Formats: sequence, structure tokens, C-alpha cells
Amino acid sequence: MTESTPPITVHIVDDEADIRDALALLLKGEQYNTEIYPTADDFLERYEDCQSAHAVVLMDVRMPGTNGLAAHQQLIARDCSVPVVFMSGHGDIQMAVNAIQKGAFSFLEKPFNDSDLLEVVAEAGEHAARSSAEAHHKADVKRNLESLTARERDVMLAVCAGHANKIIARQLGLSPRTVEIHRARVFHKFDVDNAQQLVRQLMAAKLLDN
Amino acid sequence: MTQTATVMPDSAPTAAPWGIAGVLLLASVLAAWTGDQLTLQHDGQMMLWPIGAVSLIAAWLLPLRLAIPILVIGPLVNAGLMDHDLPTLAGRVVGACATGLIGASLLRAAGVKRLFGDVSDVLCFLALGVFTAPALGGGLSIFVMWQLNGMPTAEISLFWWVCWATESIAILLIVPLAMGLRTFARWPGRYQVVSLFVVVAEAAIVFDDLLPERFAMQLPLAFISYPILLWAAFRVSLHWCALLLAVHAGFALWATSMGMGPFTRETTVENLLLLHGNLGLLSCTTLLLASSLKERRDAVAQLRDSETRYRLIVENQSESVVKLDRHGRVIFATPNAERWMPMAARPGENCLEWLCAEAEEPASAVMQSLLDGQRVELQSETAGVWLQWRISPLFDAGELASVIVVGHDISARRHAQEEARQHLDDLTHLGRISDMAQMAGGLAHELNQPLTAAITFAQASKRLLTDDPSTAEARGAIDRVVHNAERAAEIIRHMREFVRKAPAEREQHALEQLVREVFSLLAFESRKQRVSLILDAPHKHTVVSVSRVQFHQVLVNLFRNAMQAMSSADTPDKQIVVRIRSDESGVWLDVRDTGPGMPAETRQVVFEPFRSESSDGLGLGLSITRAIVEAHDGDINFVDSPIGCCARVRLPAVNAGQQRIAL
Repeated sequence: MTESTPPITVHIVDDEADIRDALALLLKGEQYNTEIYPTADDFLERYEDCQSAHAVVLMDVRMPGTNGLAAHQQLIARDCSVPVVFMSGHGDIQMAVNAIQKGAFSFLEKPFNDSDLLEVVAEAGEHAARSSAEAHHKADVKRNLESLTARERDVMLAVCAGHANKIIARQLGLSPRTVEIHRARVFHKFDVDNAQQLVRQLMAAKLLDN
Repeated sequence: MTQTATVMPDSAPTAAPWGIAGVLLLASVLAAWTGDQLTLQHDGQMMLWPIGAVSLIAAWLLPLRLAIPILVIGPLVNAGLMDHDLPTLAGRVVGACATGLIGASLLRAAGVKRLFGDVSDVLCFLALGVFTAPALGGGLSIFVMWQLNGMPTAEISLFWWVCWATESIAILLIVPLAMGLRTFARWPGRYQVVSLFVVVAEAAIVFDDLLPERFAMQLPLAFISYPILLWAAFRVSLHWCALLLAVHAGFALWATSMGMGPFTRETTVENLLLLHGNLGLLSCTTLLLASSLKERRDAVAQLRDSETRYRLIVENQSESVVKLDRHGRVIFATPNAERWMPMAARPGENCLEWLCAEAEEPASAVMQSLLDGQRVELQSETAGVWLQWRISPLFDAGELASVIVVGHDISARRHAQEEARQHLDDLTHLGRISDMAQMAGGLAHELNQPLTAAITFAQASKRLLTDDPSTAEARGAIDRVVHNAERAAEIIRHMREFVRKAPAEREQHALEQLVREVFSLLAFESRKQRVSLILDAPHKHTVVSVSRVQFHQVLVNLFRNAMQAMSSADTPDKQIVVRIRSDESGVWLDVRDTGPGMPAETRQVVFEPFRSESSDGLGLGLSITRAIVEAHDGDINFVDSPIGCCARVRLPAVNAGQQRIAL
């Protein structure tokens, strides 16, 4: 946790009030925001910020009504990428394996050690930030790409292909000077200094396939 | 022809009527000759008129068309032998025909059996054949003679009397003998030979004047025939008696006609009166005695027959029967009673006390029940054999007269009951073990939650304390709290692992079969609660792969749950319907009751442990049921049902290729 990033919110879902409160107390002490839910149904109803970079879910497996695993499946169905950490008093290895295979971030057996818990939550937070940042980056690149004019786009593709200005001018039937201007504008829009940086950005956003 | 058929019904020897007709024809001629021979020398009076007897036999045995010639031929031959005038001949023909036909009709109408089955046959024969027929026949005969040749009216009654006497004695002697001829086909027995010899000797001595005249003429000597023939009636058959009588009478008639023997007198009337009176009474007495003895012998034989039959039944039945007197002492016992009751063979021993001791019941109470007219049932066990004793009192004029004890081996039934109960006990025991396991598991879960909260609170508290020397002691204490709580959690985890059972062996079973097995296990309970158990399954063998015992547990729990739901007395028509359906994807078993149903909120929690609403049990039944079903890769829940409540168990289908059972 660095000072610059906004605090992570931990969503605690457990039917046992004391466990909810204890977890909230522990996590608040570590500068996390907490939200508590007595049931999975309540959580599914109130939790909306699906793409948040600053959310982690701590959820009990066995609860009245919808159980933890089923709630997780509903989150996936909603295209929520929020990392989910399961907690269970039934230390059932098969259940843990199933949960992880279905995309849960981690699995904690009750009772848990505070440092283990905080470690897992921190990792989940980083994971959330990372996947959120990736998502944001991708969105930025996409937005930049869409802001290009048709001519700028052609020039950009040729630049990415590694061609020199003169060759690009001949290919597109433009003057080298015009190509120069387009190229400068593309670099400006993507906020890069050279062709290498541009290619790297596009590849990171998986928008360029060689 | 039809008429003859009706005249000659049933058992007449119709197989060879011509043969019989031939014999009777000869007999008729012989009779005519005999009648001629047995004629008193001094006044020419015939002593016997055997033609009437032959006529009666012919009319009784033969169809009319065969009988008529025989009825006519006798008088004709006789007339030829004795030189009768025409009116006498006509009278005799009419008499023979009338006696034969009237006698045969009367005997047939009375249903007299030809072999004289019993006393009533003999009585009918005497009354109708011997007395009535010749009286009427003779009367007609005399009427014809009187009309034709003007017999003096004063002689008519005497003449009729003589006719009747001679004819009836002939019928009395000849008919039983002739009818019994067929029974003589067998070689005569010892008594038959002896009796014949004695009668011949007696007749020769009495009638042949072998003794000096002063003895022979003495009338009392004639009565020696009585003891001889009475003795014969006891020893030989009625027909042999008839033969003996005929032999005796033959001697008597012949001797008397020759002017010998005790019955020779001056006048015809006196003569006939004496002789025929003697012969008639002797014959009647002998025949009646013989037939009543035969009747008695038949009855005795019948009794012995039925006794043999009952003995066979009693000796071979599986139940043993003992009759006791009113004090409980043995009077009679079937042979097989000794097997189970050693004193049954010793009449006089007190069996009731022994029984009560065996069955561990107070004898006085049993006796009192018997005196009150109640039946008592006791059960005893000896060396693995279970016996049921049904003890019933028999009263005579309001007093306890005797006691009937019927013993029955109920070991097989008893063993089957024991086995069923044992299995149910085993299931209950298993249930209790899994109750404990489930309880431990439940406890572990329930305890784990607060421990988790405690540990987490403690750890959070520790982190809230500033890291300086003043809080060091508090932080140390918190560490101890966490450590101890973790130890408690560890103990719980061990306990849970300890009670976690090894998965039971699974085998393929027909679900219907399992359901039926549990039906029979719960038969007693369901009967007691008046719940009918119904299986609704379209197939006979829906194969599932389960642990038999565990699945018994599941079904017992579900059925008991359903029975409990219907236990309120006002539930009408209590039923548990088990429905089994299957397809490629799975097998569904529904257990539906007709109880008040289950509210939706109860359905949410009904499988959680310790949620039972019933006072007995820990409320683990359904949670165990779910645990077992889930361990079989299935699931269970309560579904909507129009009436009552419906539990639905889903199990994975065993596809056809994997099915191994051949049921």
C-alpha cells in the first residue's frame, strides 16, 4: 500500500456478525475501507462497482440462502473481475480446489492468522489494482486510436510496420512533409516520443498483432 | 322299449339279462317240479309254491319283455306235471304274474337294495315281498279260479290262506338266497363251512327220523335250529344265512312231505301252520339278526375308518395337541407333543404348571383366566425353539371341564422378527453413531465460528495497541489469548477429522428393492400409526450405486419424518407415497406424505443440524440424510406438493453400460 493510491475497500460477506465485525476492525486498523453484508443475497444486491480497482471480497462459503460459491458464479456472470477470497470453517480441500478453479482469488480456512489474512487481502488488492490498471490502459489506448483521422491511422500503421517517412509518403501518395506532420500528431495523441514506445503501448493493449 | 327301460333302472345286471333270463327259466321249471315234489302224500296238498318266488325275482331283475315268459312258463310246466284243469291253470298263471309284478314294483318303489344293505331293506322285503305280494297274487289267482270253475265259496278263505303260506315261505327262503348267489363266488370261509355242516346235520337228525321215534316226534327238537342259525347270523353273511335257511327248509319240507319229522300231523292246516310258522319265524329272526349285525359291522368299520383318518391327521400335524383335566393334568396328548413337553406321555402329570413355569407366567393367573373363560397364549423357548401355546378352557354345564393346549413351533416366524428387529437396531445404532459424528461435526462448526471471531478480534486489538513498552504486557496477553483460542480450534479440527467416517462401500442396487426393504422394516411402525406405504414405480429395477445400509438410513429417516409429520390424529387417510422416476441424467425419488405440509421458511433450514422441532432426537436426522445423499453425489430438497410435503432425492444415473447387477 502506498500513500498515493486510494484506499482499498474490503467487502466482507459472512452470516456471523462477530466475524464480520472482527474482520472489519482488523482491516480498518490496516487502513482498509470495509463494507459488511450479512448474506450473499444482500451483497449481490448492494455491490455495483464491478470494475473498481480498489475492491476485494471476503466471503464465507456456507450461508443461509445463496451460498458463497453460487454468489461468486453470479459475479462472474455479471463480468465482475473483483477478486474473491473465500473463508470456510469446513476445511474441505475439494471445495477449495473447486472454488479456485472457478476463478476465486484465494481460500482461507477459519480460524485464520491475522498476518495470513492481511497478506492475502493485500495481494488481492494489488491484483485488483493491476487488473483495473490494465483495463484502464487498454481503454486509454483504444480511445487514442479512435481519435486518429483515417490518414493518421494509415501513417500510424506504416510507422508501426517500421517504414521510413519517404517510403510511407510514396506508398500513401503524400509528400514526406505531410507524413512528417501526421506522424508528429500521432505521437502527440499517444503521448510517446518514438515509434518503439508506440508499438509497445499498442501491444500491451493487445491491439496490435504484428 | 322305453317302458322297459324305466321299469329296469340302475344297477340291474343288464349286462347279461339274457343269461339271467335263461337261468331263471330253468329255475322256473325246477320250481314247478319242486312244487310237484313237495306235496303232502295223504291229501295231495302242495307244501311250497316256489313259482311265485321265481316270478318275483324275474320281475325284479329283468325287463318286462324277458320276465313275462318266465312268469308264464312255471305255472304251465307245473300244470303239465300235475294235470290241472284249465281254470286252475289260468288261476295259477294270473297268480304267478300278479305276485311277481306286484312284489317287484313294491320293492322297487321302496328302494330295497337287491343285496339287502341294512335292516330296513330286510323289513321292507318282509312286509312287501313276503307278506303283501303273495297275499294279493294269491287272492287274484283264487278270484280267477272261483270265477272260472265255481270253487265253493266256503273253501275260498282256507284256500287263499294255504296259497299265501306256501308262496310267502317260498319267497322268504328263495329270494335272499338267489339275490346273494353272486356273493358265493368266493371260496367259503371256516364259519361258512362249519355252519353249513351243522345245519345239514341238525336237519338230518331232526327231520329224518334218525333218532328213535319217541325222540324224533317230539316237537321241541325242532327248536334246536334256532341257536344254530342265530349263531350263524353272528358269524356269516346274510346271504349265507339264507342258504342255511334254504337247506334247513329243504330238509324240513321234504321230510314233512314224506310224512317224517316233527311237523307231520293229521290235517293240512295243522301241518302247514306248524311247519311254515316255524320256518317263517326262524327265517325272519335269522335274516333280521344278520342284517342288523351287518349294519353294526358296517358302522364299526366306518368308525374305524374315520378313526384311522383322524389318527393320521393328528399324528402327522405339526401342531401338538394336549387335553388336560380341570386341574391341568394330562388326559391325552398327540404323539408329537412329547418332543416339546416331556410329561405329555405320562397322563396324570400336571402339564399346566410346567407350561407356566416354562413361559415364566404365574400359574394362578393363567388358571384364573381359564376359569373366566378366556383363552391364554403363552410363549416359551427351549434350546432355540420358540413355541406358542394356545390354552383354551372347555366348559361343561358352567364348570371348567377340561383344558385344550395347542402347541405350535413359531421359531421361523420368531427368527424372522428377530432379524428384522436386529437390522432396525443396527440401523438405529448406525444412526446414533452418525448422529454423534454429525453432532461432533456440527459442534465443530458452531464452535469454530466464535473462535474465529475471538481470534480475529484479539489480533485486531493487538494491532490497535501502540508498539511501546507500556502496552507490552497487554500485547503479550493478547498473544496468549490467540494462542489458546487457536489451540481450541485445533482440538476441534482433530475431533472432526476423527469422526469423519471412511466412505462406505457402494454397490449397485435396485432402488425399488431398497424401498421395499425399508417398507418391511417399518411395517410394524406404520401399521401402528395406520400409515399406508405405497410404492409408485414404473420400472422394477432402477439401478443406483449406493451403500445399502446408508441408503436404508436415508429412507428410514425420510419415512419416519413423513410419519411424524402425519402423527397428529386428525390427519385423514395417512399415506406415504414413494415415487421413482429416472432418465439418462438422473434418478429421482420422491417421498410424499399426506400431512399438513411444510412452510417455505422451514424448508430453508430443515437440513441444518439442531433445527428439529420434535422433542425427541437431536434434529440431526435430515442433516444426516443430506450428508449421505451428498456423499453419493446426489442432492435432496423439499419441493412443492399439492398435499402434504414432498422430499425429493436426486441421485446420479448408472448408465446401462455400467450396470452390473442382474436382478
